[in-house]
Amino acid sequence: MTLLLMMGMNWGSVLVNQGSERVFLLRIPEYVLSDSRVQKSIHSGLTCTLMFDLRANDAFRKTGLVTVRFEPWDEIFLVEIVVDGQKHNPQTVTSNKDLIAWLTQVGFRIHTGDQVIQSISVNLKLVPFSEKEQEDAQRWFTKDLNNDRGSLSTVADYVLASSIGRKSACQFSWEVDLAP
Amino acid sequence: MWLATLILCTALGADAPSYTIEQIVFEHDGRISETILRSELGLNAPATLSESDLRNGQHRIRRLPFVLDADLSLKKGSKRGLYVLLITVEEAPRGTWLILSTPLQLTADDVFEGGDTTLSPPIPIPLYSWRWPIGRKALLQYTTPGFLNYGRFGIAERGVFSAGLSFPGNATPSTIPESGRATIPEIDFDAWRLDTSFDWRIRGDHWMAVSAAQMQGTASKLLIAGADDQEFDAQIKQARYQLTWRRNTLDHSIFTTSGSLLSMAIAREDEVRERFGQLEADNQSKLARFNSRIFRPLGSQSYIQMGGELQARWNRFDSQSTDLNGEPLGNYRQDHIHLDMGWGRQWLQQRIWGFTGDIRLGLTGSVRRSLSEQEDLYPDPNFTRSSLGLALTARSPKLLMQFSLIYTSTPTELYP
Repeated sequence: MTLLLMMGMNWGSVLVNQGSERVFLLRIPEYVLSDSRVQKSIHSGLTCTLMFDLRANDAFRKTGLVTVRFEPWDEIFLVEIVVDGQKHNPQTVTSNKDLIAWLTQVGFRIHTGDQVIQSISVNLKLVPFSEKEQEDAQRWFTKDLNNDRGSLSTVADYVLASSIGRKSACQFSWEVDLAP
Repeated sequence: MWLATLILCTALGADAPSYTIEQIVFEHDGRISETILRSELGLNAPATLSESDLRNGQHRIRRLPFVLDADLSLKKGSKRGLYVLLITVEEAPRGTWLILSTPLQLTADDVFEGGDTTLSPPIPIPLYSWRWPIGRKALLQYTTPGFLNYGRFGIAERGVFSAGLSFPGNATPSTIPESGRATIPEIDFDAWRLDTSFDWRIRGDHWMAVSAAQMQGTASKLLIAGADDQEFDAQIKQARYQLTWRRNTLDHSIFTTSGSLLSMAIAREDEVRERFGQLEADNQSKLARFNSRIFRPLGSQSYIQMGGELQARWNRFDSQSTDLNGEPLGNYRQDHIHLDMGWGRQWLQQRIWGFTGDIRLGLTGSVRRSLSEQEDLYPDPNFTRSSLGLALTARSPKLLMQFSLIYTSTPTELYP
């Protein structure tokens, strides 16, 4: 799982004038959307999900997700966004270039309430079409583990199984500085 | 948090689309029979399939022992609204290097060393596992750490049949590292052992498994298991109930798993471990030069295991110790609670000079309590031993390295 930690890079901005509330506008960095694994998943024709988790302190945590599905016949991307439990209107984008441009520009409105937050940690995870098969494949290899404790062959099986891992989802993390 | 998001995913997926698949195409490098892949996929074309159907098919492909990964993608079909399902299969590499290490043991109060703190160096144990496809449906696997050979043969046909054979290899000189109290010139594994298993996919996600083992001499066992894979919230759950026959007794256990989050096994085994016990006694007789005791399992073992990110296991062993002439010296009971928590998740998966893998930090700890009827068995025959350690694991499809550091606070036990 790729973990890119982009400390101190400002990938978002703050909109202050939303009544009495502070609203943080999160944008997905272009390098995330251009990543080859993300691109491969987006173009699979199956639903690809980007989940993000925002944390500033114990009291502030927000979650959201973006689902993208490429329709091969129309060559369009169907995009849905859910932020903090609220589903936004689905969007249709006609090219990969436009998809990246739109997602990097549109941003996700995150309401921070009246909290004064200096910085936010963003964790974004690509959920592949099927996420948990690695563990299951390993269980397949180690299915006798519970029945043959102690034998070296079992140990070897276990070690082999745990060494066989498929490529999993990728994950990106970065910090957003909200200080004025 | 991710659970909450998964619920959101599920909510979004309520109107998940279906696809009319007119053709299924495999893309792989040809060492695996396409018949096998199609059989395991369990999907036929033309058909209208949901994403869930496709996900389950991908899941079944990935459980094949020859397969490292499988990706699905949809392409345009011959008419509008029809799709070609392209399955790209990455076959498993033919060989894997494994480097394990005995724990780096820190001992605080070693009664045999008069209270000195001792540090034992880790001993790297290199293993090599070699896999080679035979034809397009079978696979041969060979693993050796030097003193034992382990071969395994697998063939896939409406399920996977595999047979494993372990047989003695060259004895490897080894030492017990802890404080250098004794040196063991050789440890022989002097019996062969044959394991066979057959996983049969009855229909869809319903599985049946039969396995049997025979060790040189008398020990044997037969295991029958049924498994059912169900999908829930984008995770795979598996329920398994199994019965095991081991000569004079019947074992039973229930396994449930939920993705990588939790698995649990509850089991009790009552068995007469004649040959297994004898083998352990034989091996231990070679250790007897410094402890003059042989421990023979009496035959009951209970355990509870929880898996996933947190692994917890409780074992109870009952055994009888004898002297070198076989005269009983007393009974011995040991309770062992072991906790193992993976931490940090995967820290790194990057292609660096061809390396794709992850590094993982784990916390491991155990509490071991022994009760003995023999007052002269140990300086303190009834003791509780606790240890805490860190394990660092780096793995990739071609290499696994495992190192651990364990701190033992009360090492009043002969075996490290």
